[in-house]
Amino acid sequence: MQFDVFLQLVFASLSTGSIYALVALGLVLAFKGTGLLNFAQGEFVALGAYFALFLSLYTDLSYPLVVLLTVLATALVGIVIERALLRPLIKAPAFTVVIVTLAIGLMIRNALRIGWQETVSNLPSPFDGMSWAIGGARINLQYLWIIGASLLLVLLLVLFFRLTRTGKAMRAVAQNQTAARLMGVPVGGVFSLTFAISAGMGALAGILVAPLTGVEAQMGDVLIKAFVAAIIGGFYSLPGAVVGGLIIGLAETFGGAFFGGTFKNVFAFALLILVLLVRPNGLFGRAEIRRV
Amino acid sequence: MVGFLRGFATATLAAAVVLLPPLAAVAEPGVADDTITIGAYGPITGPAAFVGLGGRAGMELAVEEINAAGGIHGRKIEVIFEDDGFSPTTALAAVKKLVDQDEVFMIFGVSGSNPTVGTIDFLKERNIPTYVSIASAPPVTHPFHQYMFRGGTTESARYGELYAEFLTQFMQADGIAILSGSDEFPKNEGDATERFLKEWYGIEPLVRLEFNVGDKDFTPQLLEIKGTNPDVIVTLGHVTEAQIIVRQARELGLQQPIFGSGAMVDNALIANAGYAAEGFIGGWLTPLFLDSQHPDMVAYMEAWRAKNPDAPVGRPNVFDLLGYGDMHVVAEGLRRAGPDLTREGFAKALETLENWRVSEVATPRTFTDWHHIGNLRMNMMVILGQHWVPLRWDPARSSTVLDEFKK
Repeated sequence: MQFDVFLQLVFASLSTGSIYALVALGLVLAFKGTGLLNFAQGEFVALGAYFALFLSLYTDLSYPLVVLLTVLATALVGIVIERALLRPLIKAPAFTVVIVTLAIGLMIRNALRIGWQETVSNLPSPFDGMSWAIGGARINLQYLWIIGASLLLVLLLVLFFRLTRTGKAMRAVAQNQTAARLMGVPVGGVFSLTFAISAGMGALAGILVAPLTGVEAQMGDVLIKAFVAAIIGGFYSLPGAVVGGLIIGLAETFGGAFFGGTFKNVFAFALLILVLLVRPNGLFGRAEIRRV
Repeated sequence: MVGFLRGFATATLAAAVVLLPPLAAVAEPGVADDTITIGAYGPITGPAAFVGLGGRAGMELAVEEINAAGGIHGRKIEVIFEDDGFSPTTALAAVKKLVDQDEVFMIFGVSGSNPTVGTIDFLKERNIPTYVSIASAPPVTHPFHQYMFRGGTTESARYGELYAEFLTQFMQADGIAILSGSDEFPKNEGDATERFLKEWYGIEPLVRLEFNVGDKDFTPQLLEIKGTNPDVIVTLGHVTEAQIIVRQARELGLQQPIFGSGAMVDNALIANAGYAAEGFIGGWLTPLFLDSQHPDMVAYMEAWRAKNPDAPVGRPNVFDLLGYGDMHVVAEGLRRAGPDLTREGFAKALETLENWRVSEVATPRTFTDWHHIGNLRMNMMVILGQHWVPLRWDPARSSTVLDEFKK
C-alpha cells in the first residue's frame, strides 16, 4: 500500500471514528449521570440537525448563533422528556425505562420523517468545500472540526465530573440514587441536568455531522456504532468513548479497504466481541466492586 | 313418488330462476352503480414513507381530476389506502384486507420492491387486477400474468440496457468503474449494467465494488477506483449515499464524470454536494424534471400545490409524479372497459393502451396481450449550473427485455 493511500485511510478512519465518538460521549454522559441507557440519544442527533436546518433556512442567524440556539433548544427537549416521561418511571425497573427511551426515539424519528419529507437536506457550515492536503492525502476541514470538538468536549466533561460539585453529584446519583438523596443531592434536578447536557451534546453532534452526511431522519442510526464505541471504551469512561470511536473507525476503514466495503460492519462488531473477550469491562472500564 | 319428485324438482328450478338474479346483473366486487372502489397500498410510515406519501398524494390528485371530470361512465373512483410500513408481511396483510374485507375492484401499488414482492403470489392466485406504479421487482411482470401490470418504473434489466448503451455510446467510455449499494435495487441495477456492458459491448468493468445502505464514508472504495483510473464512475443507490460519494470523490482528486441511478436524480444531490455534483448524470423516470417550465409541468405543480397547500419540504417528488401518471392510466383502462365493468374487461382494455399518457409529465405507457411492462423509457439528466437539465439522448438499440415474452 502506498503511503499517501495509507495516510488517506488513516484520515478517513479518524474522521468516521470521531463521529462515533461524539455520539458515544452523549450516551456515556447520560449513563454516568443517571445510570440509564438512553436509546433516544441517536434521535437527539437528528433533532439537533433538523433544528439547525430550520434555523438556517428560516432565519438570518449566524452559524455560531444557530449552533448555540440548537444546543439550547435540544437541551430543553431533553429536560421536557426527562420531566414528563422518564421522571415518573424513576422507580421502575431499568429495563422498562430503557424501552421507554427506545419508544421516545421512535416517536421523534417518525415525527421528523412526516414533518420533513425531503430525502436528505443540506445544512451549511463555514467549512463547506474546504480541505487540506497533507502528505499527498486530503482531509475535509469539517472532519478536523469534528475531531477537535470531540477532544475538547471530552476534556471539558472530564474536568466537569472531577472538579465541580454538580459533576460529583451526577456521579453520586448514578452510583446510588438513595444514598445520594440522603446526602442531600437533588436527584431529580441532577436527572434533568444530565438529560439536558446529553441532549445538547447529541444536538452538537448532529450539527457537526450534518454538513458531511446531510440531514435525514435516519441520522440516529449512528447510535449502534456509538454503542459499540462506548462499550469498547468501557461505558463509564469518557476518554474511553473517544478511543472506542476511533478504534471502530480504524477497523471499519481498513477492513473495508482490504476486504471490501460490505465487510466494514463485520469488522466493527467482530472487534467489539474480541475486545470484550479479552477485557470484559472494555478498554477503560473497571469491574464493579461491591462491599459485602 | 316419482311424480312428487318431478314436481319438487320443477318447483325448485322455477324458484331458483325467479329468486336468483340473472348472471349479467351480478356486479364485480368494488363496482357499484355510482362508484368504483380501488384498493391502494404503500409506505406512509417507516424509512420509506416518502415513497408512499408521494405515491398516494399523486394518485389522489389524479382521482380528484378524474372525478371532477365526471368519473368513469358516471361512476366516481373511490380509493381505500392501506399503509404497508415498507414491510412485505404488512403489505400482504393490507392487500388481503382490501380484497377480502373491503372487496375492492383492483389493487394499485405505490410501494417499493420489497413490500410489493410480498403481495404478488396472493394477488396472482386470486386473479385481482393489480397495477404496480413504483416497484421495479421482476416478479411483478415475470412470468406473464393476465392481471399484473407495471406502470411508470421500468424493469431492472432495462436499466442495465439503457445504462450500458448510454455509458459506451453517449459518454464514449470503455473504462468503467461500478460502485453500487448491496441492497435489492442497486444490486440488480449493477448486475444488469455489468451484464449488458459485456453482452452488448464486450466491456468488462475495471472494478465492481459495493457499499452498505447507510454508509457515511466511501474512502476505501474510492481509493480503489482511483487506482484503476476509469473514464466514468458509475454509482448506483440512493441520493443519501450519492451526495457523500460525489463530494468525497472530488476531495480525493477523482475528476472523472460520475453517472448515477434514477434514485439519485434529486435536488438534494445539488443541495448537499454543491459544485462537486456539477456534471453528474443520472436517469429520470419522467420526461420533465419538477422545476421544468413546460406548461404541463407548471399545470401539474399548480394543481398539486393547490391540493397540498401545507406540503412538507421535499415534496412533490418523483413518486407523486408516478402515482399521478399511473392513476390516469388506470382510469383510461376503466374508461375503455366500458360501462359493464369486469375485471377481465379492464385487463383487456389496459392491453389496448399504446403510448398513452395523461400529459408530458409522464412517460407513455404501452401494454399488449403478451407483455404488461408499461414503460421502457428513461430520460438522462445532467447537473448544469446547479440545475437538473435533460440530455437529448435516445437509445438506438431496441430492448431485449420483451424478447422472452415474444417467445
